[in-house]
Amino acid sequence: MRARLAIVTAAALLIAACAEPNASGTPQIKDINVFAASSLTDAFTQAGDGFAKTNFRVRFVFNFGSSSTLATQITNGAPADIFASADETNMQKTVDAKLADGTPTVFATNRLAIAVAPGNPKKIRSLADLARTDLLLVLAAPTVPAGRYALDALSKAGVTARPASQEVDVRAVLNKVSLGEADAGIVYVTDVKSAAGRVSGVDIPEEHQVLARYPIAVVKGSKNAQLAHGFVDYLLSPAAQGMLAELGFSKP
Amino acid sequence: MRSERPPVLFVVLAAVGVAFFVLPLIGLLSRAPWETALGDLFSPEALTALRLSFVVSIAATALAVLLGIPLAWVYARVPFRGRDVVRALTTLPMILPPVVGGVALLFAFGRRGLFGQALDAIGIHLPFTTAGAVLAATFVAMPFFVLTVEAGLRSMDRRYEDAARTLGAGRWLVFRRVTLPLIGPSIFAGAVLCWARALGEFGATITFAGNLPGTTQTLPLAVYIALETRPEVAIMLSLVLLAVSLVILIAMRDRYLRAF
Amino acid sequence: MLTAQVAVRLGTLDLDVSIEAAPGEIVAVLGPNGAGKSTFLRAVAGLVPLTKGRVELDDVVLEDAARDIHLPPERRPIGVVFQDYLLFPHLSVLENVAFGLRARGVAAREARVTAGSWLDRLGVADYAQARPPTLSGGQAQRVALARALATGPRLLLLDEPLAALDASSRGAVRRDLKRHLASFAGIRIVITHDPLEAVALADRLVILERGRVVQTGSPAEVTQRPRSRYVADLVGVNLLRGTASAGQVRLTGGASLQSADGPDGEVFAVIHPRAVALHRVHPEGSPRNVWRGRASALDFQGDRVRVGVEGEMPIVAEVTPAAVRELDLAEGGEVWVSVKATEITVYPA
Repeated sequence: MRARLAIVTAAALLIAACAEPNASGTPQIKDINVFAASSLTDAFTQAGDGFAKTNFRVRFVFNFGSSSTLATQITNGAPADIFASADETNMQKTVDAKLADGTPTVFATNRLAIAVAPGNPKKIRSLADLARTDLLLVLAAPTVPAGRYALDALSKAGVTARPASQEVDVRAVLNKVSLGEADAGIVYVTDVKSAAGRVSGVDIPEEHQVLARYPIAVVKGSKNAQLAHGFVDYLLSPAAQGMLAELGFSKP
Repeated sequence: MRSERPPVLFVVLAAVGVAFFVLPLIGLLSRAPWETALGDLFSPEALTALRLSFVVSIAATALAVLLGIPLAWVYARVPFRGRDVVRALTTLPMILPPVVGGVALLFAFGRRGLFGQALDAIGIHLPFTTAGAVLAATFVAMPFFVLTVEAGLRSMDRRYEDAARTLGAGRWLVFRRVTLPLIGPSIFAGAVLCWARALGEFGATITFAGNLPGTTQTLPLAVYIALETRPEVAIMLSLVLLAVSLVILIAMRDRYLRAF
Repeated sequence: MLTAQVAVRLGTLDLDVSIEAAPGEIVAVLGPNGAGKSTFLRAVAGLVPLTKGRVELDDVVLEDAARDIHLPPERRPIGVVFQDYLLFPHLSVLENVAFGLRARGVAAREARVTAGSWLDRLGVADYAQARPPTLSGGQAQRVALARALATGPRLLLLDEPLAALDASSRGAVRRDLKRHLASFAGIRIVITHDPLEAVALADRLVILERGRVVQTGSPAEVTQRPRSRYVADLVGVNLLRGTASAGQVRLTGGASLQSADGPDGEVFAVIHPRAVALHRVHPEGSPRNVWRGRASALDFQGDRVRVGVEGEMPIVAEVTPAAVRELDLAEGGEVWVSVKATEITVYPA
């Protein structure tokens, strides 16, 4: 008798927990799953806070990683509402899989920089220096946008570099340099800015530069499409663009 | 022998348990691109990663055996103050997230690490080298070996050693000709466990040793990278790892059970 | 000649004994479990360090606690046959027997030949290539003996050599063992808890109880004149202690015995249960020793019954089942006990 009562109570609680509360109650918080390139970590965290200030019903759940991994996850059914990629190739994968709601918009661009130890003790001045045998260089893996951009830049400069490691994403490259394990790494200018104090940056001249274009799209099948579109619009607004510029991004 | 029908509840739960392991494997097999399989499998990158994986895992196991047998012996036979604490510390890598292990290795043996600087001074560099990958694999896999061998030492009948001594064998001879053969099964089982763990090591390797094809990109790392752009290759490499591990585990199923 | 003054304190065991053994005699150390027999053997073998004492074999000091001398087991000229035999399971019978020789530096081929001849001598040559787990108890015991003897020890120690055998094979194996032991010229010490084994194998018994030697002598001496309850129980007699004066023995329990003769002073008195008579009422006649008691236990052993009697004079009597019926004896029942003075053996304590 006691056992049966317990089971019924548990079942009731379970059903209540799973049920959708009705609309006449207090406005419920909606979760937005954002899959974004790891170079957007600081930018989106701040943008999320900014957006939530004007829209209390939103709570962001961020999944930062290499754009290629994220694209694979989304095309395999991961529940993303928004996808922001660090290159157009990976965004194209989702478009090809018919998972993009509308045409993707480029909301920011980024440029490359060389990250070195604070104060640049090894006196690295240009991409050509990265071929020095006394330097430990790390790059992002060629399958990752930042890695491909880095190889593009190096080939533009006519430099053959031998990296000691191909990291899984650009943040890992930054970490290796800031930990002192590597002498140099090619990252985005935004990464150098975000790690100010822990790394120094060496500019790459425009003729060797690679422009990284960041497209963003709402994923088809999103349960909160309206809010998702709202966030995309917000990113294109002057407030967000100003925030992005401060972090080192360039205009789309 | 009369066979009893097992309780239904147990059978159902056991079936769920089996499904838990088997379904992901079936998923892997069903998505395998069998047409391009051979090409992917024998591509230079795949073969390099495979060769490197074997080299690293076998080297790690050899290192674990060399250091692990004396360590297991000390844990089993030499009572000293703080033994339990020391033993707990050396089995920590078993429960530590591998990436945490990699970070710890970095802070100890990295360029700016506690001991790394001293090693650097005498020309030994570990991060970004195959040796570093071996170190990372040994760090996470050795506890499996040590625990298994320690259990074997504790459960063996020590009177055999007494008998050997009364026959005239000194302590080293006793260890070589009596103790080691008697704990042979646990050494074997421990080594296989250790090797399997080393083969599959990812987190500590990529954090400490890095990821470079031919030098530090072992099979699990290659799978992870391949997954980003060429999932078919990733699947094939995963299946190779799976097949090798399965063969080994099946080959030693009885021996493992006899180890204790 | 072995002189062993062994004092070992190990956990709850407090062993302090002085035992000697000469070549040509087989000494059996007999005692109940926990008496310290195995510890004594292990101490002599060098597997347990002495807390105090000295072990000397043929004028060579094996151990001297006071002078910090301790020869490790592998340097002692001893051979040990362990209870359970402890034949190395991963080696063949031949390799087992050759083990001691190889350990002492003998070349492989020579060791195998010597080992083979020992297996021959003990009649187990057929099993040379077999693995120990396949051997029967008797075969394993002979291989263990061969292994211990192959190195030519001066002292042979046997720890409960027949304990691992089942009752049916024990007799035959015991006779075999006695034969093999007889042909060994060195010192032989057998540790056992089985009095049958001790009496059958040994020339001299050393009775060990609670870490102390309580009696030593030939099997005949020990069994006819036991000096401890343990031996008395083994032999199956009543043992009493008291002070004697002109045939009157005042027992430690308070009661008094009248014996036919015997020394004065501190004495043991032995009464065989068969010599104890039981009566329904106070008996008439010659017996000077009569007491009242209560039957406490009836132990039917085939054609005899052992009756334990409590009272002022606790004693065990042995009667026939018919007598039990006639006396209407039952546990708790009242009974009168009598013993003839001539049936009491008294000797100095």
